[in-house]
Amino acid sequence: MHLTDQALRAYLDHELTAPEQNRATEHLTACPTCRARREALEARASRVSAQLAPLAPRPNEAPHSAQIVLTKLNRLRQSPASGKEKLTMLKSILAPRLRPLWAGLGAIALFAYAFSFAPVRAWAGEFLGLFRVKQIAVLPIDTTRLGELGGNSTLEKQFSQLFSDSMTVTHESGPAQIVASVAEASQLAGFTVRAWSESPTAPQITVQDGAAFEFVINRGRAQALLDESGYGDLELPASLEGAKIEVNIPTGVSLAYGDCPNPESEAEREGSFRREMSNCTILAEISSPTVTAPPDIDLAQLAEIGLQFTGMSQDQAQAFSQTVDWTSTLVVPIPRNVASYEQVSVDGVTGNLIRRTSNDEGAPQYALLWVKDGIIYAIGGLGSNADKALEIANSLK
Amino acid sequence: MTVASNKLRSASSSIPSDERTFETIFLEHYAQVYGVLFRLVGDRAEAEDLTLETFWRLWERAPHTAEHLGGWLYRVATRLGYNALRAAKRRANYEVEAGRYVLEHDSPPDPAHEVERRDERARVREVLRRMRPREAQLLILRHSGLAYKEIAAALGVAPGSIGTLLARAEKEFEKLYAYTEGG
Repeated sequence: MHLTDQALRAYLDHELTAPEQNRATEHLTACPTCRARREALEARASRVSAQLAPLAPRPNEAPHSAQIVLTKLNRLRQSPASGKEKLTMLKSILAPRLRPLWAGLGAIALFAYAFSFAPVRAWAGEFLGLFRVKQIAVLPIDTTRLGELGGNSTLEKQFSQLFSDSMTVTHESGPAQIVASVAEASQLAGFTVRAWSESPTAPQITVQDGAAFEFVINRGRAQALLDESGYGDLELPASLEGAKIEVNIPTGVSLAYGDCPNPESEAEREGSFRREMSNCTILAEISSPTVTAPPDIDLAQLAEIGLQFTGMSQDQAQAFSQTVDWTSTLVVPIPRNVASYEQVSVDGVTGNLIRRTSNDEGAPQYALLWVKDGIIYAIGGLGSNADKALEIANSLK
Repeated sequence: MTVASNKLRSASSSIPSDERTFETIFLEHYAQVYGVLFRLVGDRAEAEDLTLETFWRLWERAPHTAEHLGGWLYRVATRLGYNALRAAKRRANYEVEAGRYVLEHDSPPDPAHEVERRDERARVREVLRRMRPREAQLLILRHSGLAYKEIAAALGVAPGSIGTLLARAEKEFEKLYAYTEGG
């Protein structure tokens, strides 16, 4: 008697009991008909498996870490709210999501895609972000090597896991708040918000609550991951072990002129301009985020490691590192192949104008960044003509 | 509140070693439940919300015995995810879905490859929508790494029928997949 489809399919998945599996193997040796059926089933199963494979979440689509979610879930379970209220609250316990380090600067997509996947972005944040911003330096990087790393999903998962295990949110960002006037925004933000004085229309003003989080560095795990990902020549200093790094992102304000993305949409998407938003210009203002780290940490050394991680040679990393004061410079990495930048004179200081060139993915975008009197300003929009950004920047009041 | 959920709640405060607490169950299944839901809905935020809802329902209405727990959990998750997949169908056809994805997500380092992947995802989900619910759910559970026994418990069918059902679902998937290729 021939094997049933049930037996053959289970045989392929090793889901038969050991005696059944043996009997099936014996039968298959003797029966060419069943062998042919087995081959056909196996071929189809592997084709279907390959076709379903793209649905699997990629590392940058991984959920929040289980521990963080569990903590929140437990807190909610213990709250005195009624069952129904809790169900409503449930939907929002993960929102607003933790903003990426740079998101406080406003709705500028450039920051979001600067690195190919979240954990590397986080790493870069750790290494390049120990600062209070006084100036901005733009750093074009070659993303090829990071891209290669992006192909290794086990490693990505480990980076991602290490990152989420190391991080504790100490102040959760509240929801974005739309306010009626610049004065109100200034009061909430704690600094004098400036607006485009010659705007033909009133902006929509959004105040985004700040956030704070801390990392406790696990040097051993981080080094093991570096080794495994082919960066064994980079050695993390021993002083990093257990070092606590605190990041504090203050309240930021964004002023949207024209038809702009909805500020209440999900955080990660906030940065995305859509094609139909071609007349949207966003001005974002925030006082400097602060990052505190133990004094024995050598920022320049860490920065060099971070730079080499992005694909720079040791010499290049050293050379760049020496030009930067790592305690006060916000380094904005941009992918070399899709964005360019130039220094421009703006608002009485030197600023950086970054242009993202057009590609299959979307329209060209620009971002103008500068720092004045301790406040970081950014103007972003769609299109290749950034003159408007300069015009706005030079007429802020 | 059921007897079982009472049991679960008391278990989390005083933990007998053989008792599976909510925490253990959560930690054991969180990633896989998310994996099932993500495959069905294709959106991180939505998959996370549905994952939470699944575990919340576990907390509210736990099944009677621990051995039915896995099946129960994946049954709830699969239903929630499958309904969301179907609801997405009502919102837009799959070409539009692919377009929406491109517009809403940040640019990756390799745009051409990325667009391809998004189109592919939209196409696969369209095929799943066109399949019979049980067969679509079966494929997703199997490809999320569940064993036959767990799948059987989740779908409420005999473990001895999974092989047959799976072979049939794969055949159906392949047929619809080829058909969907041309749009």
